[in-house]
Amino acid sequence: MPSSAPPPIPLPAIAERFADLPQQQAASRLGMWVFLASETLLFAGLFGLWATYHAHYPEGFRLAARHNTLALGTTNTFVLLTSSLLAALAVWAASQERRRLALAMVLGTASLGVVFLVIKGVEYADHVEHGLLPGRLATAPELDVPGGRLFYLLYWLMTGVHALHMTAAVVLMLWVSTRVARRRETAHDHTRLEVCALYWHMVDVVWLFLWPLLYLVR
Amino acid sequence: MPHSRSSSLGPGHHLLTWLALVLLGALSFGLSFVSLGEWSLAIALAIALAKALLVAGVFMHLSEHHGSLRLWPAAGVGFVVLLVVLMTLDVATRR
Repeated sequence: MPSSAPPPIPLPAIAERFADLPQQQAASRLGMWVFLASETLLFAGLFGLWATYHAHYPEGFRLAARHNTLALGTTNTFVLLTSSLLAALAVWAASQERRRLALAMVLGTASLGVVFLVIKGVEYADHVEHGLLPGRLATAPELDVPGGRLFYLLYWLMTGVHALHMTAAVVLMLWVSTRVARRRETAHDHTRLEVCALYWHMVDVVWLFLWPLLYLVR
Repeated sequence: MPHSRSSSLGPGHHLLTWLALVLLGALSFGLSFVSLGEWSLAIALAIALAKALLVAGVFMHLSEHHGSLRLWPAAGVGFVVLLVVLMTLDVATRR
């Protein structure tokens, strides 16, 4: 073999159980959707709790929600909507073999996730300062209305579980950014980026429902 | 199930979807200052559902997928409806 021959282009690894790459990609996508459905089950329980107690204490929930900072919750909604746009554009850019654009979009997505968490942290700090804490930890006298403490228990539980998911999503995006940077996510196969983006969108969708339940119900 | 390379959804679709999402968000925000009584929460949730459908349909490419893949997001919606409705009914009908 002449030494000047170009090195072969490495093909993506296909697991033994799959016939070809499209089948493997379809299985990955389906697997992520099954996982997302199971995640929905987790949040559905929390939404069920909220609906049940809201039916009992509509006025208490309304009064308690007024102590949340609407501006911060609303800003976070727009931050997440924009992050989802960047995640979708990252997948598109990878499919067009535009690596630098894909990398910028992935890092932009992760950055907006961090912005979301920082804003949430600022709000949490404000709640702690004013005694708007879950259950028996609550010291704010304004929560002494029927359902007021329950609202904040659910608020911390729902936003806390969501923030954990957001953190996981940021870690996933940072991990996949290293793959994009190393040319591992190509137009031919960028399934890992695609499923990471699916997870990101799910976290966004959950927040779209938390926003009216915890901020707009005033 | 289409391969992602053959997706017909380009940056133009994504930008338009984002614009629609932002407008729906602004609508929801604006309506929270309007006194709509018991309807306010229902309307806010309906707008949230519209936004979720846009995200799922365009950003998550669900509009391009068929068959067994669509079963799972449908199952997710089913889980939410089942738990919210049955939990609320359970407590509401206790004697």
